[in-house]
Amino acid sequence: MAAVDVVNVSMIEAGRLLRTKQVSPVELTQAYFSRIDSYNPKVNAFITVLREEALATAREAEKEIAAGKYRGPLHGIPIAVKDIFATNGHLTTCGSKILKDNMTHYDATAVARLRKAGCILLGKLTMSEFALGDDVNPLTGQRPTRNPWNLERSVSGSSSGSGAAVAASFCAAALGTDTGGSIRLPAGYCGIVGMKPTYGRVSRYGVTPLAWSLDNAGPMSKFVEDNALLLGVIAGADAADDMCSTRPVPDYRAKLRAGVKGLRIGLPKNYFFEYSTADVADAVREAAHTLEKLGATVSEVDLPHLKYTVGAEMAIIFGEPLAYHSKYIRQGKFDLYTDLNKAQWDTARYISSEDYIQAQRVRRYMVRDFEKAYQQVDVIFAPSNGIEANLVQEDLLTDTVPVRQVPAGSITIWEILWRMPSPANLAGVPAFAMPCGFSASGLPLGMQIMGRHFEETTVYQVAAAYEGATEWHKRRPEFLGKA
Amino acid sequence: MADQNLIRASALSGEPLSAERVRAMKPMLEFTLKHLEVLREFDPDEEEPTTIFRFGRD
Repeated sequence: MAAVDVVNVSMIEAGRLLRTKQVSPVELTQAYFSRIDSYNPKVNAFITVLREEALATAREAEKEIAAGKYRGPLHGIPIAVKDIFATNGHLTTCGSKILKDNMTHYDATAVARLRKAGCILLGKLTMSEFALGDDVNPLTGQRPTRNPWNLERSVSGSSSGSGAAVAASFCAAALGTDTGGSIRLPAGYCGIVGMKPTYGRVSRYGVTPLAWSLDNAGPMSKFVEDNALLLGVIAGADAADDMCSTRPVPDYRAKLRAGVKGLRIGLPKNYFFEYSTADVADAVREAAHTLEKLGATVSEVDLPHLKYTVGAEMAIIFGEPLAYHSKYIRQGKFDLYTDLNKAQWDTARYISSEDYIQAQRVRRYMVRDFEKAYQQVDVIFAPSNGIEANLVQEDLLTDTVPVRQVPAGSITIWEILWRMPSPANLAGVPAFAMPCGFSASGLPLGMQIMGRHFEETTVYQVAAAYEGATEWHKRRPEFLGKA
Repeated sequence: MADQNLIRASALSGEPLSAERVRAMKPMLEFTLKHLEVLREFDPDEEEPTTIFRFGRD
């Protein structure tokens, strides 16, 4: 197979080509670097490219596979990680000037597990500063990360480089983090898939915190099965993260071909669809009906406490980081933050302890809402972003926040983009973003499939059935040129 | 939300904000306060001893 094709096959297929020696790890790695060299200057998805180390690892993998020491389907697969994951011997900047010289000397648990499985680390990816601020490469000043489907469009955040790099075929898959949608929003805008697992499913050791009680790490990829494979590797107990679950890790690929006959899909009556543009809302409902034709049932569910979501998310996602970042502020580094984080840290000063405690209390009620709904259905479908990718200049902090016309009225994009993903963070349920259509301007539209706590297997089962019934995942952003 | 009131209130957190910082964060503050107002309507009809997020028995 010509190297030019291997960057677009699934990770599972690439693994087969490596195992059967039709492609070598070095050839595969070089194919990705060729994409990065050609298009990353436009997309700006990497902060650090680890060319020499990656090629050395690829040569080692080639020798191991040749010697019959095959580690499994990730052996020789090139990946990249958001620059919030510590990696041994490299800079870990969190997208901030404050950490632009921050050399880390250990691997985050998720990174260590991927390396052990044989993955090749191509580099560290751009992100919103500390997973909440503006998207600027702190080493070059280049901003922002561009959407491979249209370079004038936003990738959203905070795992911006992860979304863009996967969509642009700069790597087979990437790791991101999600505290209020930071895996699902870039996945939705970029037409790829991304899993925010159950809270506590994946260790955050070595991942710089944003908001401890909401943070998750998870995989982003082009295909559902690749994502399930990656989660199976990075999930599981880790004594280094107190919140990491000790529950056994199931085989997330076990039900990928089981279909959806008899499964029950819920569509929320309230909260999501009236705050989405019509094209998105129609695409998500149509996705549910596509699976209805394959044997699933579709019904409405009620999640009454979600009306408190945005306030609760703000109280926590601004309040907890201020506690973390106060050390840097006291050190006189406030002016080094990007404009968005400066505004957010200053806003956090006006959030009261009562607001924060009420936000944590209301989460219990949201959990109960989801648990009650999951007595009636197995998964819940909702928009992941609610809108198509906004323009990059609309991400900049100005006096006027851009709005979109939705059934609920003229709503700011801030509200829409906090509203859609945050319920899954507050309730701790798994939520998987995937493409469900394209807008009139040719941009991907995203939905999320939410499941019961620790039932990612069912979420992947439904996602795989939908992927198999549709063609959205086969489209590639040709704006960059055919791979 | 007069700027001077916001500056005075910020002093309580140990660092009074400059007029420039107040101006820069005002859209974010207004957005946040709008949604905190909704959160402040949360009034559960039962005593809930748990204030820390948890689920299941894990």
